[in-house]
Amino acid sequence: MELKYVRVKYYYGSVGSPISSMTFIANSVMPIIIADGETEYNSLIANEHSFNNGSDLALYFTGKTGYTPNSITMPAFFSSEESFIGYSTYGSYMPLPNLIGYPINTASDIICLIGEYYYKVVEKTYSQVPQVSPIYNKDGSLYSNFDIPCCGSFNNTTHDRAQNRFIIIRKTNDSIDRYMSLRYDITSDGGVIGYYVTNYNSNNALVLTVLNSLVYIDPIVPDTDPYSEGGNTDVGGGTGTFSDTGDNVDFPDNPTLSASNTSFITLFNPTASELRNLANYMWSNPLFDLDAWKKIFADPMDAILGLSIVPVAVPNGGSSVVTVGNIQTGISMTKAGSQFVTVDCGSLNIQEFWGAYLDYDPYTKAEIYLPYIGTHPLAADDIMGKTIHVVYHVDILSGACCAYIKCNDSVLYSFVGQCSCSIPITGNDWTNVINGALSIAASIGNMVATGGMSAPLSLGNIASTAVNSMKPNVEKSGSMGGMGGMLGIQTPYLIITRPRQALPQYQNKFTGYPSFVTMSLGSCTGYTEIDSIHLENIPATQDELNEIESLLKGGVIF
Amino acid sequence: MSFNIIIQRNNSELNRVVKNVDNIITLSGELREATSIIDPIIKIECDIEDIVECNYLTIPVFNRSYFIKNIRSIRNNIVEISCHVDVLSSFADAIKTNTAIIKKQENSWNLYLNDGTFKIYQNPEILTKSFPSGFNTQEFVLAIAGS
Repeated sequence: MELKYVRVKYYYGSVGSPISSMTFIANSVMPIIIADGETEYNSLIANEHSFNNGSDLALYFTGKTGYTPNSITMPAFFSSEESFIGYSTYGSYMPLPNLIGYPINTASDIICLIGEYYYKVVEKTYSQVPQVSPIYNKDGSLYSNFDIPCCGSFNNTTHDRAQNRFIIIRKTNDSIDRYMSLRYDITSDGGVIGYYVTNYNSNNALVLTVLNSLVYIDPIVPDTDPYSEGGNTDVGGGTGTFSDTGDNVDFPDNPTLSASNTSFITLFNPTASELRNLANYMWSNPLFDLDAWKKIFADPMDAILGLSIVPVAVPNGGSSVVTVGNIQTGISMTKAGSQFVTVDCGSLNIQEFWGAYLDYDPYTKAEIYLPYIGTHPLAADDIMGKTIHVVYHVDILSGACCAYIKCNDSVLYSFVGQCSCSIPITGNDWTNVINGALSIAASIGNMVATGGMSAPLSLGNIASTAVNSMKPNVEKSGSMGGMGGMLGIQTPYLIITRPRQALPQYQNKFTGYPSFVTMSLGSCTGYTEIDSIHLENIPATQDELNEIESLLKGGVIF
Repeated sequence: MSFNIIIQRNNSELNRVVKNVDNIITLSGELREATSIIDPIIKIECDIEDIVECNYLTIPVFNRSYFIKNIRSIRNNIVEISCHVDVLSSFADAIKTNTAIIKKQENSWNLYLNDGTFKIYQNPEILTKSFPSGFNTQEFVLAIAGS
């Protein structure tokens, strides 16, 4: 067998207080050499060897005569308190402290920790092919299948746990000398122990496959207090691509399905005279067959689903005779060609006033009034220097409208409202209209001023430009839906609140303007304040150099 | 050692790197007493009336120019001049070879940087801009059950 080794570093014991030493208990069937530094301990000879907590141990599998590569066992390492190095979980590994309070006498998986990786044992009868595989790495990712190098034993007659130190491992369908019955337990000091409860009278047992392929496992380093070791900072960052592309978000298309497609409802775009003709037919036409009507509707007005005024040009769907229920009225009206209408309100090009930070939030504020919706704030950053395009999509059946605001190539804002005004044709309709008007009035009464930033008691060093952002934001309209909207302004408009700059003559000569570029001082002309400099190649004394830097930062004139 | 002093009048701002100076008197002599090259105090023999309006001097041997901080009349025709080095003018050429991150500049700037340079009045300007079109019609819509 090819000599391989696994190198591990053990930190274990009770939670929070590792034991001072770890004892290896030899077993005569274990052909393992354990090396600690320069000393090798032959497991066939030695009885007990103590290793200091944190020792690096190399476990060499020697392939001793009489043992096939598939039947090598290795010891389980126990502390002097007989703490097992593995611990049980319920489906996945858990950090050590989380196992306190774990349910006892409950079947669970045993996880063995060897180095950095965790290994799971799956219960199989000893006559079956044991399948054991590790499940998780420390980062939670699934590690590849691996044989578990772990063993122990149990006296299945006395059930003496004190003797439960070794699990002899056989691979595949080899019979085993002893099988293990473990149980879950917690040490008296709260340490972690993981065991699996089985019916010790049955042939079912935990069978751990032998290690027949070892790989190097990096030593596990326990977490330490970062403050005791000076922190955990590291270098990094600066790996951004500094490039990005976006997608344009255009106005959406109107829905393709409409109520008219169902034939359960027909939308007409009547003139006023056509409506009068229909009303005459419904209420006074002697030819109206009420008996025929009653076969379909209890009330003739049930066939009239709604009458409304919309602020859009309804698409022409051709002339048609109005059929109420299945009764031809003989009255022709223009059908609505589409349930959805688009209203393009056009574009505005918003240009910077200064070409400076004053053109943007929070110094310049912007709002938009949208008919049938109301006034909403816009971010000056979103509209400045861009073409602002407003488009409405209107549903003439429900009266719902949605206004889209596109800034250059993408729709950044969308607001919904109500743009139709219902005309009551029944008593219920009238009540709803009145209630709707009352709710609109109530919402207007709720207009509030929302505060901006809190103003300091003393401006002191606060830049005057910051004061504007402390001004309160006052709503300029409430809900503008329905007839309220029809009474309002019908064209959208922007409201731009711009500060008035106090700019003294020749301010750039006296104080300079913001720069923040890297320049050779030889190329500077006029007033200059530097932010930072590393003075070099100047034959001046230290005090003179300090004075030069101080003057440069205070402002000099080239 | 031979010592020349050029007593001058500086017409430029104190913080200008290269000064515009007028030479008034050039004196030659010996430096008899210890003096600092950064804050020299020099006694010269001259009529104080000749230098009372001078505020600058250059000592070529020191490779430095100085602001005159004080002029004291010691006795008849003996004047004591206290100076402080003008580091900007004395090392102007070397300073210009250096590179720096500029914070504010008279001619090279970016107004999108917000450093509180500009002040504004408390009364803003409010502007409204109407879109080209809106809702300009009203029509009836009648919804009837059936096709």
